[in-house]
Amino acid sequence: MPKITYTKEFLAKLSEAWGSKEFTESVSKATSTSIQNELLNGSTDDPAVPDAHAVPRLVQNASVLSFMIERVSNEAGPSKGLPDEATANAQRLAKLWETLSKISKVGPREAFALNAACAYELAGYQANARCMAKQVSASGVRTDNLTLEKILSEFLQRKFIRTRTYCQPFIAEPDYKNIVNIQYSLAMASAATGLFNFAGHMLSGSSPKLDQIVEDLGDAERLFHMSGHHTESSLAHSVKSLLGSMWSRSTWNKIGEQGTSNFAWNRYLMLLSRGLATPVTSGSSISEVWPSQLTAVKSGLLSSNDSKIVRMPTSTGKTRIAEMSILHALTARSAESTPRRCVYVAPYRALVTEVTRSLSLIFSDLGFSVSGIDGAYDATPLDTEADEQPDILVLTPEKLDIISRTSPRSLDGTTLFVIDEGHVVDQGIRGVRIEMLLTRLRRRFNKSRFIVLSAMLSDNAMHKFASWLRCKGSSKDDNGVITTDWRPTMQRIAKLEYVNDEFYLTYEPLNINLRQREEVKNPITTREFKYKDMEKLRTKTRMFPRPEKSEIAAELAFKYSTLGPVLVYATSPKNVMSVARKLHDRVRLSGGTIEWIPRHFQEHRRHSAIVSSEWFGPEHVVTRLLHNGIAVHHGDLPHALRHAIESDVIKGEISVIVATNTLSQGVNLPVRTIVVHSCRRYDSKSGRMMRIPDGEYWNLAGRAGRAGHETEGTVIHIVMSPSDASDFTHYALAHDKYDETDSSFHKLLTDMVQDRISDDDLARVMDPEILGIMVEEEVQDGCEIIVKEVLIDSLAVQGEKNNASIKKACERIEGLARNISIDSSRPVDKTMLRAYGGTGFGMQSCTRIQEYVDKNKEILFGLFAPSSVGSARDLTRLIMSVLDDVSEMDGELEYGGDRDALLDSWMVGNTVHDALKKAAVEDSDVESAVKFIGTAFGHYLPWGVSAFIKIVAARLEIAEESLPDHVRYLPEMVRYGVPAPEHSWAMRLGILSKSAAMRVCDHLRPSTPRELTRMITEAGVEPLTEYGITSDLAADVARVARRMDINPLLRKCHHLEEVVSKPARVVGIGEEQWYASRLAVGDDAVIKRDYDDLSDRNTLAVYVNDQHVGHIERHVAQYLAPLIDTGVGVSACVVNVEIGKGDAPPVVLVKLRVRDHSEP
Amino acid sequence: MKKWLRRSVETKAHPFVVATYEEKVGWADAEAASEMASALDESTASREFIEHASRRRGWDVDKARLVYIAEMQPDNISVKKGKFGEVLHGAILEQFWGVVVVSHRYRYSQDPNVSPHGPDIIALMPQDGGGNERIMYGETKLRTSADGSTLNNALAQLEKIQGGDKPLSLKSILQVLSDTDPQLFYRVAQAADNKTLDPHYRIGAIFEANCWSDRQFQQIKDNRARRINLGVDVVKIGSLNDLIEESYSKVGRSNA
Repeated sequence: MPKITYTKEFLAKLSEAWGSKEFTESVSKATSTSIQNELLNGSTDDPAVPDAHAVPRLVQNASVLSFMIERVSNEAGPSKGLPDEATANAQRLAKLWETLSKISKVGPREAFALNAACAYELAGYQANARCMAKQVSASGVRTDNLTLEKILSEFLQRKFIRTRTYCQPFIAEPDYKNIVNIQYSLAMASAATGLFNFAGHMLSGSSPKLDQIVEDLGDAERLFHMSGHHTESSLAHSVKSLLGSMWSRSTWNKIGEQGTSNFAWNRYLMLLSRGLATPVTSGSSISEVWPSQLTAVKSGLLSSNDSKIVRMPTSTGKTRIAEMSILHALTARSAESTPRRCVYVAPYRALVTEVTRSLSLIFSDLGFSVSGIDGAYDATPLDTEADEQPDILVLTPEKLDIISRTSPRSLDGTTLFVIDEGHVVDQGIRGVRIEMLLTRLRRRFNKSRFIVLSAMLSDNAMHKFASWLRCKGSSKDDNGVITTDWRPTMQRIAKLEYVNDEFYLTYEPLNINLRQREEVKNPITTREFKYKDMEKLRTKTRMFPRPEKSEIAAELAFKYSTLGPVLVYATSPKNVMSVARKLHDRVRLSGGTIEWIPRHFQEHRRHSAIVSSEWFGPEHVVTRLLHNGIAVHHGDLPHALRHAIESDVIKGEISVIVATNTLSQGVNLPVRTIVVHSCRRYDSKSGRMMRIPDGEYWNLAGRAGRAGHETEGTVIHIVMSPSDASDFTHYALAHDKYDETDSSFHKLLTDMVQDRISDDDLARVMDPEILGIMVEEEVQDGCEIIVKEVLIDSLAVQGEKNNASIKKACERIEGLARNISIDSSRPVDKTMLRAYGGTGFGMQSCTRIQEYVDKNKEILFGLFAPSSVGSARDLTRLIMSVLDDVSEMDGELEYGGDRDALLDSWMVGNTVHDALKKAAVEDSDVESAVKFIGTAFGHYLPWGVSAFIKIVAARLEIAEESLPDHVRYLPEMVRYGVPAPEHSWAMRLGILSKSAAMRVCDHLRPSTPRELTRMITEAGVEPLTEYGITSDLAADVARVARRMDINPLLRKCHHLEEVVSKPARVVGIGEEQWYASRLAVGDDAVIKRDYDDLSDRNTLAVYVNDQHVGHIERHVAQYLAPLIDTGVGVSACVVNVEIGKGDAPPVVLVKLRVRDHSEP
Repeated sequence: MKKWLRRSVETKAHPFVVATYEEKVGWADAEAASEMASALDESTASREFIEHASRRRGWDVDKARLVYIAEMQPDNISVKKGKFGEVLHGAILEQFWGVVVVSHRYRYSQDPNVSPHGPDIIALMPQDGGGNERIMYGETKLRTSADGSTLNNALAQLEKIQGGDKPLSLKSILQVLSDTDPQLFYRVAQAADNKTLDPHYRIGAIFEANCWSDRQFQQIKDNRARRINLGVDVVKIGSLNDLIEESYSKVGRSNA
């Protein structure tokens, strides 16, 4: 009989439904109501009630539409999933179910949320599906009280390991005597079997027998229906229709071909699919390739070694694209025997930290090492002295520049350079330097691949970049430019207006075809607060918010923070502080009345508040704001504090952050809501307040909406004046526009053409670059020829080859190079030239330092001799005085107060606040002193010290390795403000508190950085907490240390049999050792995953006769744990027990046995 | 069932068709009870499906089936009677009128002691000449003692369906059929959607042979009957109570 297909008919009916004016109007009304109700969450106000008849009708219509869409998906077949023309319908339907789930007192909200999750999953918005499924979370539910809804919630959140754990009990055959309802038991067993098996396939990548799984869920659907469990029946029906699309979009299906013969690639997909959270059961599986990432894969990301330019909005998975390309580069087959390396260039310190952490999470379990180096041009042995070069190096462009000059060999074997935030080439002098660096790298590594990532490059700039970096596409029409606008969450922009004493929030329909304009009246209201003034003992009243921007922004932040993190954007630090103070007032007004204060504004010991207290003191306004959960973020704050704030926001410790554009640069910090307080800033060129560029506005707005946390991010633009209204309209229309990215070097050349730059200024910018070229190319005489070649290869010049003026400007730089060449041939030999090139300084500064060295040779020899035991502080003071004459220090070392006293106090290990007190800094000068310490001691002085040490060592002919430790590591000691080299090693490892770092080192007494890492790796978390480090931080440090310890099994053993062929050691502590000593050879042991160990995601516990006797040794466990998580069964047998002498622990060895992927 | 039921009279004296069946005199109750037990067993939804699902799970099929059969038998005497009547009426419709009964296999599947809402029978009725099928709704009345209002009650219940929306039970049956039997799903969905053919309505009257006279049929008011497209089937069975008890006592035994 021919197959009957209703697909066309259903699709027509779906379009008809959404085309109905009445239907879309009631959807729109319900949406407005749900927004209003969300904002009333927790308040005493009555929720808005929608039209009593409209909602049941909407539920009925949504049910029919769900049925039709699922039917269409089923008819497409399990391997294809939903046809494209139905995807938009599924997305709208998901939104409708989500709205219905939010309207209080209507229907079974949990079932609506799961319906929404299913529809989002069908539409390809997996993060949104996860977000909706989370609302039916099974956490806290006893395992004997699990329902299908709870299990499906875990499944739709892609917590596959937990899904399998929860399904297992339902699959076992019941005791027929006590069975309550055979139909329900069979239904649960059928559903559990289907979900268990499908989750197993998603974890292991083995091809699922979809027909069988669909049949299992079909059985469940029918049996649930037969037993009267209609909700469960309907859910089984829905989930059945998802499986095809879930598998077809899976990482295994889309990018799995890489893994057929590649151990690392297969393991990579396995690690992604078990999830990157700690413990692994708490996180979601990364088992779907997002459309943005798929675009990159289809454009040849993994099938060639051609360079690419990738433009994607923020938070759309760029890091994963980099991660895939890195693995592709590291594992590509090659005839060369040299190890392959990758370099990831991140232009902000915070980004270096974030990317290092993110890449380490996955690459450490693949057996590859990741090292992160942030900072400026200060060269320190910690950057390059590791026993083995890391496989992946994440660093700032400045650090890459200095390493490529000082130890170019350490970059040998680099086959891939990933350049994040590629648009930084337009950032003034820094942009010029980055462009020169990339041009030099492109010359030296002409066979390597370059991948540039950015969210902000214009079309024109992308094509220029592609031509500059010699990118190639996968087809004739594509020149290596990969671009997509897809986002994992939806975004909406709204304006808040104040009209006749009332507030109106109007949502802008970004896609006019998709939704109506929704309006919410009075999302906030001005109210009178009565509170007791404790000083005057009088009751006072205060209206809040008054109709002024800062108070309105504060009120919006107060309300919206109950839904998720809020970022208030303001263009100046002054406005930032104003909004933050008003928000603090608002919180206190709630505290002064009996009104409920959201938990995130309650006083709490936050890490960022501790850091702020260390820098500014406990009474400073920034610290007090942080105590109340309000963070400020602007350029006047020290880097360490900004970093701590970002980290607290990511951890969910802070829910409101008021910031300037410092936050829009670099770190991936998505929030739920962005409130735009102001969008004009002073422009020194025109002397007027100007709109911030469209690209900057939308890059910032792009942070609204956290994948997996909410389905929609909201940008609220406060409109209080005609100028605000025109700004709002301007930006709403500029949604898809990108600012033109112009190379700063091109601007410099243009300035030269127009004769707007002096010789001195030109030398200041270009001298260090010319020296860098001379060092790298090992040329001294006639270096202008090489410089010319480099300039021609630059981004700025390569598109202007026929421009005579630009050519002339280049000739001026070539002239500069010629002069350096002539100058340097006299007083400077080759060794000194290399030292100069490694400083990042210009010729003039280097010769000035050399002159000083020549005059003070004896003193310096005494300080720098290998046996010297001089004072680090005295040496730093001396160097600082020399650096005062160095132009690169840019006056940044000048300080109004007693600079030496401040330096002394800083370097003995005091916190900034204590250092300021001991240096007798007045309260009124605290902020400027903090800024000085952050900039001078945190950035410029380490650079200067490093440059000085290089020139002295070269001039005195002392090998840098022979310098005493307090000299070699001086730049790091200055940066961290600690008295001994080992303290700086500990801080570099991630111990952020100076006092804790000093306590750890004074106890462990390491002689080298490597030894410290090993000691911490072996000691684990517990001893660290004894030194006053919080347990979270201690776990972080232990994890960082362990990541540096590369597992040889992962490098060498590509077959499981090799790993289990040798007996594995059982390691125990405390009473485990006592039990272990009583084991006998031949005892059977059970190997279980220990998901409670927060410092190690791969722990394998060993049980004998139900008694915990220890853990499997770390390297073996790291190898096996991901396999066990994805379904491989492992058991063991005791093969050796040796009782230790005295207090020595027993040596227990077990022989491991492996079973195939366990079936239920 | 054919063995113990036979068509006896067909009369067109009324505005609606009355077809009457009688038990065949002389047949042993045991055989009738066995046949009816088997029909009851099959009509209790998917015994086979439970077997199929247990087999797929690797469970003990015999045990699962026995537990299921035990679970699915009503204890409540009035529900027992109702179900017996509906199954018998369904069998008559299928055998003598060629309709496809789609409902009663799902009717008692959730709680065997509760009579579900909605029409007793939903069926597909073939049209002469093989045209579009139409939906048929049936109401069954089983009585072991005299009750004059029985047929009028049945009429009133059918009128409720006639005036209102499609019954919910039709929607839930469609949901199950959409996956279990797509062909039947489309046939029922098309028939339910067919606006040119009104549904057919049918009453099944099953009663103790001696408790109720033919004259009572005459009391159905013509003016009510005319308004709906109606048919009536009448079955008279002697010792109906005993037959019901015996049939239920045999249910599932053959499978044990």
